[in-house]
Amino acid sequence: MSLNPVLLNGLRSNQVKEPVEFKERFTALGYRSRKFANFTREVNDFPNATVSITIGGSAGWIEQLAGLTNVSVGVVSGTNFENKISVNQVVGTGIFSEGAKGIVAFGQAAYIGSIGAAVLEGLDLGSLGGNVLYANPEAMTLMGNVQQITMVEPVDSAKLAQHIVLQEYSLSAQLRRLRKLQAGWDGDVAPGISDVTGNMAEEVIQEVQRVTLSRLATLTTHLAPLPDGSLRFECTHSNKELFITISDKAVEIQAWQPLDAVESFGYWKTDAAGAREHLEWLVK
Amino acid sequence: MAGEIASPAVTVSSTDSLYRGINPLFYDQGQLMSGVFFLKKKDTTEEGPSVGITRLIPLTNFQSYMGAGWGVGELAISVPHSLSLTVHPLSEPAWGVHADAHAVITGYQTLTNTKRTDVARALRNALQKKILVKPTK
Repeated sequence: MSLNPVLLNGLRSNQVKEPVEFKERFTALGYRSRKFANFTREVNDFPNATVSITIGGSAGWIEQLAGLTNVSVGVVSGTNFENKISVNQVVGTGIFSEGAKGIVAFGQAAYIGSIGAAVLEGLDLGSLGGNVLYANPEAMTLMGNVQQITMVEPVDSAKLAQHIVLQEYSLSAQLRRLRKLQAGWDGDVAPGISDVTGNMAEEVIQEVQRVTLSRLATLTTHLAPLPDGSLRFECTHSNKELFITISDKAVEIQAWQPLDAVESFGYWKTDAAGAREHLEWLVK
Repeated sequence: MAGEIASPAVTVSSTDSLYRGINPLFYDQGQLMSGVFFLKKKDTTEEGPSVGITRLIPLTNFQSYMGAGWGVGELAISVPHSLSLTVHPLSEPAWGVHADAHAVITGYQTLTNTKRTDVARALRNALQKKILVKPTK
């Protein structure tokens, strides 16, 4: 059988192993797929794991994911994004913090899961059918020993992927709407949103997406205008809240913890890139 | 400037409640945004956020004075008071027979920028708890 051409680019000779060799290696280390049941799950364990996302050809989420440093994204040439992309099989849901993750599109279906987990599934469960074997030494290292693995909190990849895509669309669509606001939109004298402010907001949306992916956290983010023509992201996660207010190139950040606190504990002036560390604090 | 207005025709009591109109742009997927109480340092008293004193105006009448698609929330007057703000009755002729039910929130002009944002957020949180009419897009 032929290998996925995109994956081929990422495969080096020392990364490709025969399934039997891998199986022996994992067996020697005490790894057996069923021992990973708390982080590697079959699709049957997730009756709600199928998420269908209908996107247009101009949708940029694949490209956005690909822009992240610790996520590899492969798209089979000729994949038609005009059609529905279904995340319809979870080959592995155990994602390590800061770990290597793979999002690989096969034909019309995007299979999302951690590379390490995918390898295991491919070996023992045959879900990859021996057709494609992506062996990444980094992912192997990340797997650590059994004790470390069992301490990893399971993450539902499908749910996370759905959240990321929906959030990106929601925020971007909201920003597009807000950019079109005419002066006086508040029934008073509010100015419209300047291009500079809108562009900075786009950068912040990208930071939100980066933090969501790198930290595997589903923060809640709303975007709204203020009557002085600025834009404000109001982000919450757990018991923390962050306001990111953008006025032209100025980015102001204010933070609260716990949520019912009236007084903020911090205020910063920064730029779009500087917002990232505060978003990371939010999801920490 | 703040404070340079005529004496109010009515007074508010500590047990009063207030209606606040909600611009649909400040309501996203069930969540109220802090812009619903935008507090500017340079606001005059008259420019403070408008509210309706609930005992002086029925909800339907208050809603009719809001823009199309606007929602309405309610909060106790004790909330702005607890934030060291003042609710100042200020007759609004456009409200017709309910003109005297109009009031403005004031007293935030002397706060620092961060404190004003703290206060706006606290008011948002209080209003979020009792949204009587959801805004429609």
